[in-house]
Amino acid sequence: MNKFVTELNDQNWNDEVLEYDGVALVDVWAPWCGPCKLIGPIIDELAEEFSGKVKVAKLNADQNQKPMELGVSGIPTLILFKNGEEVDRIVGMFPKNDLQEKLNYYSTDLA
Amino acid sequence: MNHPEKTLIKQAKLGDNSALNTLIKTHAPVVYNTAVRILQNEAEAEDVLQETFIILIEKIRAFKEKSSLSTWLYRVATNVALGKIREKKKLGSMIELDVLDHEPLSGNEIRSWPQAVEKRWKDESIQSCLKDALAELPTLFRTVFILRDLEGYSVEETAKSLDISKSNVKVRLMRARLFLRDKMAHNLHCVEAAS
Repeated sequence: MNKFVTELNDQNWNDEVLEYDGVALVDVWAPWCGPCKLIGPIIDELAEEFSGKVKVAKLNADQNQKPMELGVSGIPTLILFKNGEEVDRIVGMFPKNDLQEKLNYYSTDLA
Repeated sequence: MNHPEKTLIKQAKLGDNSALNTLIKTHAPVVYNTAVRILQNEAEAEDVLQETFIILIEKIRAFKEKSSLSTWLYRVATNVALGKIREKKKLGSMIELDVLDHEPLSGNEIRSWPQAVEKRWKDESIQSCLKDALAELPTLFRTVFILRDLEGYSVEETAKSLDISKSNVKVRLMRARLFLRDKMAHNLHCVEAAS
């Protein structure tokens, strides 16, 4: 796992996401999912670019129950949280530029 | 169908843009809400709204009025929205987490809705509860529930629309009903509001 990316699981979910004061991008993925493999490196790059501004985290859908609780029915699913509340959700591949825009938007005082 | 709408359809067929606009304005909320319910995404629902009315504009002359315009638009909007889901799957940009394919049907008996809820199905507070519960229902189950129980599609039609097997439709529907039933029963205020 990239050093800029937080690895999430059912146990640390509350501490790392719900109680996190700031913007968090959660990538719900699975090792066998082709599109997840394509978007994975983009998420890693964003984690480095937005280090200190946005917490970038990954949640393995195979090993955790949380994705079902979140109503995730397709992967990759990217969920954006601000101060522990979901503010945006993207299902499927998404261009890096658009993701950067979203992260900039939510990590400024505009959102 | 009420008489004024029949007149408006007739005028729209003759090229009266103002009549066409009135029809669009009247039916836009239903079309939009249908798309939001299926896609759970407002931006995509707006696309569905636009595409549905483009189809209406193109096909209004051929509309035979065998069903009401709202029913016809409902079907078109549903098909356009489902097309969007299929498109995403086809592009390979996402993979559905179809956990149900690995789960056996046995032991999962379909429980009936509480009678009190069923009797008050048309009650506004029950509808609002259902709407809330539907929003929490994963897409995997929601689309099947909407098509089968709300839109009245047959198992076969639903299977065909979603490109899944008939048995999968049945399993998903059962899961959806159980989820909604439990969700609505859990929200005590729903039951209290309805009684």
